[in-house]
Amino acid sequence: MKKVIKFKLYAIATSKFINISTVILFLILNFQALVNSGILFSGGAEFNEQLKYTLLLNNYTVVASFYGLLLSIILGASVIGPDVENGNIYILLASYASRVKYFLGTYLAALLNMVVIQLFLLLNIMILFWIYGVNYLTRDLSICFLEIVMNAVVVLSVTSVFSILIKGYKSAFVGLLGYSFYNIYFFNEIPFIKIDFMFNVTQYKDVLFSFFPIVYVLAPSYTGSDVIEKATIHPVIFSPMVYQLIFSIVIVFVGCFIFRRKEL
Amino acid sequence: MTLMISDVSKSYKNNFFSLKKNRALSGINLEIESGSVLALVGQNGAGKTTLIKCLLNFIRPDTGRFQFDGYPISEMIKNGKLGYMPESLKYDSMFTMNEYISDLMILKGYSMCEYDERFNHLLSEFQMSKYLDKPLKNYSKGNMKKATFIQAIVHSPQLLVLDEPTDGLDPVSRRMLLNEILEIKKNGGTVIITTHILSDLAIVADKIVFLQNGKVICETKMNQINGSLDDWYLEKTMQYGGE
Repeated sequence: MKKVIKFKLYAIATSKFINISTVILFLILNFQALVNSGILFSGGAEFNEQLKYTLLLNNYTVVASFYGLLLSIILGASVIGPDVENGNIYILLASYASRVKYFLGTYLAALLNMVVIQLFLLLNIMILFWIYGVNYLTRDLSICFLEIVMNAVVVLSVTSVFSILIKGYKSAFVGLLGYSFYNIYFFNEIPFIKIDFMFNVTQYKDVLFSFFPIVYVLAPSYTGSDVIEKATIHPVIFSPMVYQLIFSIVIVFVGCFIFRRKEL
Repeated sequence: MTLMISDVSKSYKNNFFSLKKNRALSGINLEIESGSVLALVGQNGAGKTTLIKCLLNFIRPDTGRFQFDGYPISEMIKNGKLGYMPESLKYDSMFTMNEYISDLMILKGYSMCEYDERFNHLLSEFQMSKYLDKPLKNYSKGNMKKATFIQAIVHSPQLLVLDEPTDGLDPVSRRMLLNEILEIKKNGGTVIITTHILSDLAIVADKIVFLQNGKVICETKMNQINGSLDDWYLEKTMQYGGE
């Protein structure tokens, strides 16, 4: 499987589409920090460390959650679909015997890539904290990071399984649909259009979470650092992060089964 | 060593809800000795590519099996003894040919340095050295064909499967490709080739199989064909084309 991971990592590294998306993600994070810096420094003495902290951490969670999820969708869609579309999958599967190992290898390569990008985003925000002279709470930052990564793992897993069934990068639309679904049960509105539903869908979020388990990661305030939105989700069986992990593993196993049986 | 294709059948549904199945392959039995080239010919939709896809496990046959020297074909793939050149490839990555073939060799379980000499020989033979470090997405159809042929034969496979290999190649490259097939055959390799360019088969093929509606209509040794291959093909098509 190591051979497949190495092969796919190299393919991702040379993908212009993924590289541009990653650069945009970093630019957005730093651009927002730059815009915020005006607020941070113009506030004077009244703009204390607590507010700076909340602003910066909020900036990180929004960018890493929202755009990080979009990047996971792109990475997930790149697992099998593009190779099927351009016909390269025939050469790859004539070179490597086990389809299950091939799928797992490409999935793990995409996952590794996503985690590395998220780690760089984390490092980026730590540097910003240092630049603005704000002491951050390691615990808060770790929880935010873990939540964001687990959300991204769920999205990546779902999209990568659909990339077996849908050619090219089109499986990204499934990830986007899931993302919209998450917006509906968390905010009661369709994303981007911002149309509210007639009845309050959010009251069913504990159940709806079972189908597309992404939690809303909210930057904790400096004083109430323990308060994080994930606590508002109470899935039927497990805690949110454990459920997300089990959900991703099950989805990937389903993907292995589908790819093993798929006729190309 | 012999490649055995035994009783292979495959049928497709028209769509997901359809109860009726269309037969793509029906009871195919073939035997190919090592050191020989088998040519699959037939009209469009005769089942040539479907047979190759079944052989390489891209699609699952309803019945039948493929064995090389008594082992399933997956063993050949696992041991990196198989080479495959698909009919078409629209590669849109920034991979250069050098990177692409090196990585495929890793996937097959080889290190490129083992085959450096042969790779360079093939590059100069097909006049591809100058394209080595250019992205594959900028390749012309002919150069892409050459690149996919090189990846299929660089590790000197025991079983080589070629789907329309000479389509879109210039006459010189075509001749080079056919010479390489002859070289593999001379070294004891088994080659399966599908093509519509019959003049190529006159040079390389030992046995020719005519497929029609997923059935083997005729299986003949090349030296048993009297007259031109074109006439033989036309005769078979006229004889069985309406079936």
